[in-house]
Amino acid sequence: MSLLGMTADSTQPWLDEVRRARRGDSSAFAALVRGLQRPVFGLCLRLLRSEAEATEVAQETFLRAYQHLERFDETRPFDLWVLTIARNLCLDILRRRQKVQTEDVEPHAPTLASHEPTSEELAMANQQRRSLEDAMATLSDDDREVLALYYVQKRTTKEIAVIMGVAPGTIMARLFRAREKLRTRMTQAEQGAA
Amino acid sequence: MTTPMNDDEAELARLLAEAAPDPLEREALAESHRQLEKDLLRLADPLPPADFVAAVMAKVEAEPQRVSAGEVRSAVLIAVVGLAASAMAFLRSGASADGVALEFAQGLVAAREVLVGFGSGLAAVWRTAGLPLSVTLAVVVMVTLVGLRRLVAPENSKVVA
Repeated sequence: MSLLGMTADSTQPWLDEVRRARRGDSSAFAALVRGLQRPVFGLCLRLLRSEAEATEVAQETFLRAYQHLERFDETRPFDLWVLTIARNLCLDILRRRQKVQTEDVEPHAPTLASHEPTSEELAMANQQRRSLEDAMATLSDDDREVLALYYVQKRTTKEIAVIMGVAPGTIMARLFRAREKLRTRMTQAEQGAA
Repeated sequence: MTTPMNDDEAELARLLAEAAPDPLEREALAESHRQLEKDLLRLADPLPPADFVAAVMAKVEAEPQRVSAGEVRSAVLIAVVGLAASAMAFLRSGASADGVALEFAQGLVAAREVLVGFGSGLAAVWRTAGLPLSVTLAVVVMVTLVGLRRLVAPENSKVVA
């Protein structure tokens, strides 16, 4: 993939479940939770960097979504609405923490591989991924968030702008600056290791 | 032939030019960013704990039953229609506001009489020590019944084969 090029998806895949959940169908809400648990938990984990806190906040996110389901505007994508709730809850916690912790990064759960790699490939890929995750963990909350949403969750710049509540035109600049900081941190880490 | 740049491409070109004014440096920077993007795109969100959905649904089930706006609207409509029908029936039966007030006053007098009677009854029970006697009798009866029940309970009976 090039430096640019993710396209927006205008479909509303969650609308049927949302409507059923509004009518009191708990299995429909469970389907929504199942479908969105990974991006919501992932965003919380990248922002909070604590698995226990991320789990708690992700659960709270879905509870808030359930409580305010009537307020959801059906013309907007449901997943972005839920991610915005998750982001706001995470930011509340980060504000309470009052300081950025750049050490004691918890190891993330292993990512899913798209093919069957050999053990050597797997070890190298894991090492590479770990270096990248470690470097990402040293970035600011804003930088981590924008990188996670764009590259990990494959969101468009417009969607990220909705979630972060900023103008879409600022996202490319934020991404560039975050990448540049990440590149610098990785170069420093490589030089330190050499 | 060159294709026109969109806003994002133009923004990226501007940012690259700002970060690396020299064209060679710029190309190297763009290449390192492309490589970094490839690595970043390989990352995936970790899976939440296995019991995540169950934990969320347990919290959701513990929530009070949500009442939808439609249900509230229906309830208000039913109440309004019911009240209107009652008012119509009342007016059509030939009743007047004076009659209603008279009925209400008579009801108040009757309620006062009931309260006075209830108070007199309580006072009589207090004077004749009827309450302690009733409680003592009730306890005796209850203890007797419980004792009898224990005596005839299956675990106390012996089965002879």
